[in-house]
Amino acid sequence: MKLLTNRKFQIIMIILVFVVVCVLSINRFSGVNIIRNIVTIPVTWIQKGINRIEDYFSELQYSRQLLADVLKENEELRLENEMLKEESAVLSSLQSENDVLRKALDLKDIFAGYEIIGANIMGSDPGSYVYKFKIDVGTAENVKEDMAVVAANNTLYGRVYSVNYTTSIIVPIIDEDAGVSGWISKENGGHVNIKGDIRYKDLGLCLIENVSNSVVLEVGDIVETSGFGGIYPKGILVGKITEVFYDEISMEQYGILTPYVDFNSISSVFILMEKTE
Amino acid sequence: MYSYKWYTYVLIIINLILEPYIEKWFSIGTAYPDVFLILFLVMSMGKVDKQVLIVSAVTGFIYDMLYSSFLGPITILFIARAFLLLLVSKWVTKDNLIVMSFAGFVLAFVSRIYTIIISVGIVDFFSHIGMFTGNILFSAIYTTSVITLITFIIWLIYNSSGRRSKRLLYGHTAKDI
Repeated sequence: MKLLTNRKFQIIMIILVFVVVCVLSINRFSGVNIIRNIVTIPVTWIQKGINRIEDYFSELQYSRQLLADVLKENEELRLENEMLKEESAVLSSLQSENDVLRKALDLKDIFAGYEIIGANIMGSDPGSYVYKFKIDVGTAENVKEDMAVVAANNTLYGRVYSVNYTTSIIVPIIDEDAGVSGWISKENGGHVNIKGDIRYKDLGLCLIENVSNSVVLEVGDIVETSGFGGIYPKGILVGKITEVFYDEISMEQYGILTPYVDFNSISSVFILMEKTE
Repeated sequence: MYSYKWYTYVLIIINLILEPYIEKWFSIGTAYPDVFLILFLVMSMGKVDKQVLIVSAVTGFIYDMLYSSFLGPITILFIARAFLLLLVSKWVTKDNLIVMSFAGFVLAFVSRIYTIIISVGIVDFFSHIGMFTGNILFSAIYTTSVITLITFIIWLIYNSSGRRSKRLLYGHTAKDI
């Protein structure tokens, strides 16, 4: 009994037990490994809890990262989309310019005796009541007053009103200052005057007057230039008659003409210059 | 008689539970901190006696039960560390930051070699020693840096608050002071 209370003996015994346990535990099937359960069971429970918390934060971080990635990708796609839209707009503009130029080529065939100059409409002349427009060609390109202005599809726009060195003012046929000698293009057709009228110009229409007695105006009649006025060559399409009325006092026929040209949307025109030898 | 404060035991228990996560959470590249070494060295602060030996042995044995493939290796490591601390305790004091850091570095360096040998075996360790050099060196530097930093902070607090802080921080009895 005295030996058991001896401090040195106790230490030696502890060391011996420790060594025996350690040696036995090298064999993983040894029963001595059961003592591990004393600590592994409670610690494993706590570690499972820590794992859950860690998983939660990992998922949270992953979700945030994913969200950031998606937002970044969205931004990139948005930019790409905007770029594609811009490219599409440029292509569309080129397409439309190409169409205009193709039609201009057709005009060259129709007006063989004329030189054709293309021009872009820069805007309305601020000094007038919006029905005079500025174009980007002038005397530098040999443009002169009263030259005929046509749209791409052989339709009449108007004439050159005034000219500067690099720009010109053109007046459309719906303006009161414009007057066109027209021809009703049908079997019993005849001469008419096409004139801008303050009552109709806001609607983009013209008045038909001075109708020859031999001509009976009808809705749907197509009107083209007669070539008599000296400004416009013969055969340019002007528009279609959409209304006909008879004035009892003057005993004359009148008509309302809807021009083929849409003056609000057109952006380029062609000036017909008579070729000189 | 030197005695640990209660929070030392709490920190040891927490560290035993969190040991598998330490590498994941705190490793920088190949450097891996020896948190138990940091804990024992900082908490003992040169006042090492037999209690450190007993606490080290028990902690090492619990560590073995939890994480080692067989019982014993970490217990032996921790006891050996405690013995070394007992031997050098004359020079390792809270006031001597350089000696404290140097002791920490040597112990961390040797401990890392020992744990790698346990993991891979002595033959593989020496045949592929180049593969482990970086890990051993950087882990020792990492552990030493933490020891130095904590010691410095505690030294600052100790010098700014006087005897009461000494008692609170290092667990000295009134007699020790």
